[in-house]
Amino acid sequence: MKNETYFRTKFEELFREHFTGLCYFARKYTGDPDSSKEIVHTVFLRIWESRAEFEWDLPAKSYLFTSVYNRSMNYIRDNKKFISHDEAARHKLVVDDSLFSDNLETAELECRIKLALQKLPERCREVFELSRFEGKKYAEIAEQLNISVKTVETQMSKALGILKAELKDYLTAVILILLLNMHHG
Amino acid sequence: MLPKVFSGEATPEENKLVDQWISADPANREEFDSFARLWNLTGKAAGTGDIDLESEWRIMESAIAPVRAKTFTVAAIIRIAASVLLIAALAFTGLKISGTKTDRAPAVNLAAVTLPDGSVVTLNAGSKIMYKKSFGISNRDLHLRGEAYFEVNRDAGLPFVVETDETSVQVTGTKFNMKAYKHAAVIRVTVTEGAVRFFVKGQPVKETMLLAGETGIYDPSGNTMNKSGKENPNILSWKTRVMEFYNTPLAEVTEVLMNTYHVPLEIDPALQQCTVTVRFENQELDSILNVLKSTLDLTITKKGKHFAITGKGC
Repeated sequence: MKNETYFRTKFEELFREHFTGLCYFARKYTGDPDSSKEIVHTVFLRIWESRAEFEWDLPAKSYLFTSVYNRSMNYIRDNKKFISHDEAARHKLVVDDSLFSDNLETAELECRIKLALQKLPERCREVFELSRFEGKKYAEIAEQLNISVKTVETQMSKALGILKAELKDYLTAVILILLLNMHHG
Repeated sequence: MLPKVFSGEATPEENKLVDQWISADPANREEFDSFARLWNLTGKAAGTGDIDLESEWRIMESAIAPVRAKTFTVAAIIRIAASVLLIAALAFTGLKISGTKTDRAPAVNLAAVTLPDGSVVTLNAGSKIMYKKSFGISNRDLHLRGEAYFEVNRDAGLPFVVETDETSVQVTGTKFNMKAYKHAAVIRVTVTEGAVRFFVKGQPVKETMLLAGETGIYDPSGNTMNKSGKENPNILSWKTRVMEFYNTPLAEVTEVLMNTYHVPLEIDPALQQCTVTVRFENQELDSILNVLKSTLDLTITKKGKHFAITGKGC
């Protein structure tokens, strides 16, 4: 018997599994983290409101991404005049159905990488992000965090070791894609 | 040594060593390539911003909590929470705020906003307006979701334009109320002073000029534009908390009350056509409900945040 507890459990599972990826996905279209979250929250709210009819046993991924896509399109339509010209040009490039699956894949990938980063010990992650995302020199990082350059090096190796283990599926997947592309080429 | 090579920290000697190591064995090359892929992959996560799944889930949890709030309240909770997060994120990353400005009223309270051109907008609870930073300089365009009362400063050179998803209102200086809730059946514009041009975007035929006391009603489902000259004394009740009813059906009374007090009222269908004649001025909802209760012999039960109105009928 499907009762509120059942819906609640299923709903939370679905939310936790897809929320982050869907936000990244919406961001590809809206360009705005705040509105993207709002869009994804609304999609989940609608599911909750129709929980009695929702097909909980079917895979929901494509339904979710399509709903978020449609709402992102509405968002762009509604807010068009509030986007500056260069931004508008950028949006125009992105608003293209053929990019749907690309954007979906990228969003999921970003999500996986984020999750992998969260697996790093705090100091290790800090060192890695300063180097990889902010392009800081090892010496600068060492000074900022008040550690030795040697420690920065150790932490970087450690970080990449963990990331490699966490993302190994994607590293092989990339090889497959490369091979496929070569055949097509 | 590979992290050093990729982060550009390796010395020329170290780079050379790595080169030799790569050429020494195909397995080494493979390892190098795999590392390069990992390096590129991690770069994709730059600037994606952190999403705190736990706090997002808590927002959702409160939105779906069994005590059902009205839909717009739920949406408002999310919007407020999202904007708090956004502000936190902006403060954290030091990012520049984009060219759009949004003013919102909280879920249960009104908000008065003075626009850059000196015009004053009163927002009903849960409503919001959005406008560009250039507002008041090169344009006076804004977007409304929900309900608001506009007191527009006269400026013949820069028309004041309020847009919703479907319609536009254009004025040079005047006072009017606009009700454009996202899921409401119709969009209403009521003029209290001056004149207003109310039209459907991209459809010049669907246009009406409204004068003080008149209401324009646009129905998106039938794409019809109507004008009503009938004065409705309760258009601004949400703002003034003054309500006047003359043989008004209870269904309409509860609608005005909900729009003013932002508390869901559920009314027994049998009572909808019962009429009341009464005037309220600046009263709390409880005392209004008490008056209705004794006048029409109703039973009013409080269920969490909302009230159920039942009775024998008229």
